[in-house]
Amino acid sequence: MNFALTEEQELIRDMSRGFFEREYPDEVLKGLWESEEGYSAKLWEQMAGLGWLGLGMPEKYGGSEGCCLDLVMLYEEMGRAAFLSPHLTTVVLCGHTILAAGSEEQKAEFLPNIAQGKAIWALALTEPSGGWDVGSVLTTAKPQKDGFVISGTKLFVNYAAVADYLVCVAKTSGSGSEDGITLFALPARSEGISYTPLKTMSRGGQCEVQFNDLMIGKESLLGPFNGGWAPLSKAMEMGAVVQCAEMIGGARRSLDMCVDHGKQRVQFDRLIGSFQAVQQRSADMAKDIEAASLLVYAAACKLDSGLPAAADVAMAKAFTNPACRRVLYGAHHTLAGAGFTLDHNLHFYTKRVSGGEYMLGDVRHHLDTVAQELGL
Amino acid sequence: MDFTFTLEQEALRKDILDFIKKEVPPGIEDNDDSDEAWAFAKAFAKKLAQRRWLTIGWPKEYGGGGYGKIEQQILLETLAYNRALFYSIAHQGITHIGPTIMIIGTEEQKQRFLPRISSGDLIVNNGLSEPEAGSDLAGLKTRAVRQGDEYILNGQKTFQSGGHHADWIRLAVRTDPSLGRHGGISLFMCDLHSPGVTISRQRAIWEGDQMGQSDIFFDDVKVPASNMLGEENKGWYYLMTGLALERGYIAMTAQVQRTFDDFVSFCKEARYNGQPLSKDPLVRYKLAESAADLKAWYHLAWRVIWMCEEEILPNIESGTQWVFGKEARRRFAENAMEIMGMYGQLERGSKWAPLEGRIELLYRWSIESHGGGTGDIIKTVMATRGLGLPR
Repeated sequence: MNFALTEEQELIRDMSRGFFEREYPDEVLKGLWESEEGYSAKLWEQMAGLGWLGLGMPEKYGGSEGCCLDLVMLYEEMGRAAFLSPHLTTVVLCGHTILAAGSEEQKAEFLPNIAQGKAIWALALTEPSGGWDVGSVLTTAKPQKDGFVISGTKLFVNYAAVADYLVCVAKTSGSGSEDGITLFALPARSEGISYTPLKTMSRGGQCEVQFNDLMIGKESLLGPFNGGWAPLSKAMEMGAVVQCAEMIGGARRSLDMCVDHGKQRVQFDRLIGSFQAVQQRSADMAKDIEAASLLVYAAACKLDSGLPAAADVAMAKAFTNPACRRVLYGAHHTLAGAGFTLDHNLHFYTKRVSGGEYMLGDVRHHLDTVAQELGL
Repeated sequence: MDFTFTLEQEALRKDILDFIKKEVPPGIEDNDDSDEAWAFAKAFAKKLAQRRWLTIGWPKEYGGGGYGKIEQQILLETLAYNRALFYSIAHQGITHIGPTIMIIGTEEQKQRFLPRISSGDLIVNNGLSEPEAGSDLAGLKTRAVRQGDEYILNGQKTFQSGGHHADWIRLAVRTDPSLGRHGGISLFMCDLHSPGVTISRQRAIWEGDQMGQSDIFFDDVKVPASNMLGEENKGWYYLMTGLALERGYIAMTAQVQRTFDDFVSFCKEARYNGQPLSKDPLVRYKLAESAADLKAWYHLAWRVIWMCEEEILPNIESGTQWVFGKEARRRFAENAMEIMGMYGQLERGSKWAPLEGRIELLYRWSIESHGGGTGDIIKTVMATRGLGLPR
């Protein structure tokens, strides 16, 4: 039993906090928020230089090693900064799927490019049903003589419009079960794929992606035919954990804003932080953050141990979603009129946390997993 | 970070479990306050003591097992989960007062009290709350006036969990009213068999077990000056600092987890409109929600224990554990009662009561949110001391 961070993890936390404070000032955030691409190529390159695009990846493939808990440290800081980037989809979701499913050639071809910031990847998984479960995948890949034909509509695909490559999740057997799913690694700019950006509250470059009878060769197959769900779901577990960490980082930052405000704002000749209503709410916010973060750290450690982690991950996300939502709503109470304006940064956090709730499974999705794990 | 236990700790847990299975006969439980159950509880504590398990986290020189706080809490957790956390094992002499004596007691006091607590012969209560001093503990009025080699005690301590089974009490009293609210408080050990002590059982919403509450009255009770712990008029300081490293508590988490686990099994079997309850989406949702709640509580509790073991002063962590835990317990109790419908109200003893009425009992227990400090006062402390908000 040990609840301390390693020196390495403290270093990641401190370095990334410093990096975002220095390189990601408000005007950059505000600019990116309104931009079409939704991320900064300059910062992406800098992050590659710092080794953060290879965090959690083996050195052999250009990565900087490290574990899921290391990524959690980085993601808390990205959340604290309301940092917009395709890190989750590129490094964690696609990178770790490639690591788990890819052939030696594919890993050698794709992973070093990810770590060096040379390629952005999008995960084309979710569809109009909006679900993150296997049954929601209706896009088909039909085997042909020399490859496959992919047809279907993907929705809510982060950073698809700026991606260089896609991991496409398709149904290759009729049953709609886990053993009928196949993954493909594709160049994103192909005839036969069209993109329509979606305007969403939390940004993140979400798109509708249409596969219009896209013909692809056999070399695009990522992992075994009909065996794509297992490696993908492992990457999604890691993704859900770091998504929680990002939300928690945002929640921590918003609580800090409230505490600062409570120490400065005077009403009725008193600092408002001395009012018990403000104090109790702040304590409740801290309590939600503490509880959520321990579930997330525990899930990350479980993933790092290699043991089955489905229950821990699902509990972490099912708890973090409403907990962070409560924290942000609490922050709006304390910051009141000031926090409601777009001049104040709070709205970025509110929106990022809200978007994070739906990424990689909402409460219903994860409580269902917990119920299954309880044997219900 | 590492959320797992060492192999040695896991082996200890298994040994304790085997011991419980061997020594605790069916039908004997810690939520039973019959004379028979209490006699068993006293004997059971002594058997644990013979293995040096009762105070496994204490140094060997005081009769302990020479292990740490984590092992002490593994003991309490395993007993609690198996409904064998009798008051003879869970009293604060073991968890709080003994460790305080180790820090501020004289050598003579250590020799006099610690081995007898370790052996299961001495059950000690923590005499803090008074009728007019709850959250505002510094308002306590019980007086101790020096007369020669003795102090004369007058006053009342209330809400004394397990008071009717205690042998001694460690109490905070006012020794010098001229030194202000915090300045004139001292700590004493007092034999509850002394002339002038009256113990009166209170009835409460949740009263079923050996930890039921009592009022304890002190009427010209003579206490030797040698029973004072630490220096005179420094009691407040000891209470605020010395106890900070005794905050971890996993037993309540384990008790609620056990009821939850049993309730999950119940929901898999019980049928409503011909369907197992566990197929009902609402039931699944509520149970899964509580599963996550209890897991978070478990991690929060163990983190505080780990911090205490490492001598890292818990700050917001201990308040979080306490308030979150009581809220999680309450949410589960509410969820379970809603799932049970009409059956949720049946008290134990009825042939119709599912799970021997444990959910009804949990629901009444979950109304308690004040023990160890009300949620309100703890949250205020979290906000001011933890987050640094102004007073």
